[in-house]
Amino acid sequence: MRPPQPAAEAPRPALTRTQVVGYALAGAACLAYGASLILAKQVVEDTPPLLAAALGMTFGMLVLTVVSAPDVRRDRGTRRRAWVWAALGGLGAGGGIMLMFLAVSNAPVVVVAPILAMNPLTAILFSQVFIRGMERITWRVVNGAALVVAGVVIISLGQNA
Amino acid sequence: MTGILFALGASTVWGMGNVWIRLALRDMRPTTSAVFSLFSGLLLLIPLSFVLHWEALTTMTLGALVTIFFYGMSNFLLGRFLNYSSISRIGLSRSVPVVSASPVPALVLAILFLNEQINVWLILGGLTVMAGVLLIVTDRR
Repeated sequence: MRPPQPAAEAPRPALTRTQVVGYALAGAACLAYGASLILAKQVVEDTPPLLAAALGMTFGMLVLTVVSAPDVRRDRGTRRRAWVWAALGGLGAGGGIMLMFLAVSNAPVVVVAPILAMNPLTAILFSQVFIRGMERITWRVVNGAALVVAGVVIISLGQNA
Repeated sequence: MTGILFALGASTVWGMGNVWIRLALRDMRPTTSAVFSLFSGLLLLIPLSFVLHWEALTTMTLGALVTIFFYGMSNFLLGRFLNYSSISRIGLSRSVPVVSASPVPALVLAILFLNEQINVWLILGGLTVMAGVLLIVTDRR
């Protein structure tokens, strides 16, 4: 009699096209934010950071409004709730920038930077608390986010070393 | 202690901001969400920055304004639009960590264009970030 064979491992499903595009967009956003960090270094040499952020945001909004006018027109009939969420999201992003500058002006960067770098873990935590049904989290994603946070903290401290 | 509280506050509102955007993206295009979120964010930032830095605003050089323009294009136009487009496709928990790896390209650009010195901590940090991103991207569930 043949000994029982171990069950064959199920093949890992390939990434869907949507996921590939999503990750590519996230990578492109990462590059854009990375480039903006370099530009920010130049900007804050002769402009207060808060003013630079406000003006940069104004330019960004004006150009994006022109470029995406057809999309905005098509979304006019969207449920009011979505507009409220988007407005709150913007207030969150703007408020975060304001608080970040206040934090940097009240404590050394080596203290503030690691807390600010926690953003991915905070986002995952809140997504699990408030929109659990919309987000599928695995330990692999949590560990990956923790590694990203750790790496960003090491870079922040390394730049101040 | 005040600085730490402000930093914790920033991290909290950024986290919640992402959750709210995820909710908006159920019914709305990423472009519209980006435009409207920038508009509402400006309602907060413009008054405060103008009150605090009016003199700096009125004495700003054209060169500084041009640099700020490109900073705005990179961060608030491209960055935000691509970020929201990504969230709408792969969700918040996968998109935000990948986008948050931005200090790595910034580091590479700084070494290439600003002659920034590299040290062992920067290499270690960069490799750790890349390992984290790889772990997320290779998650197939």
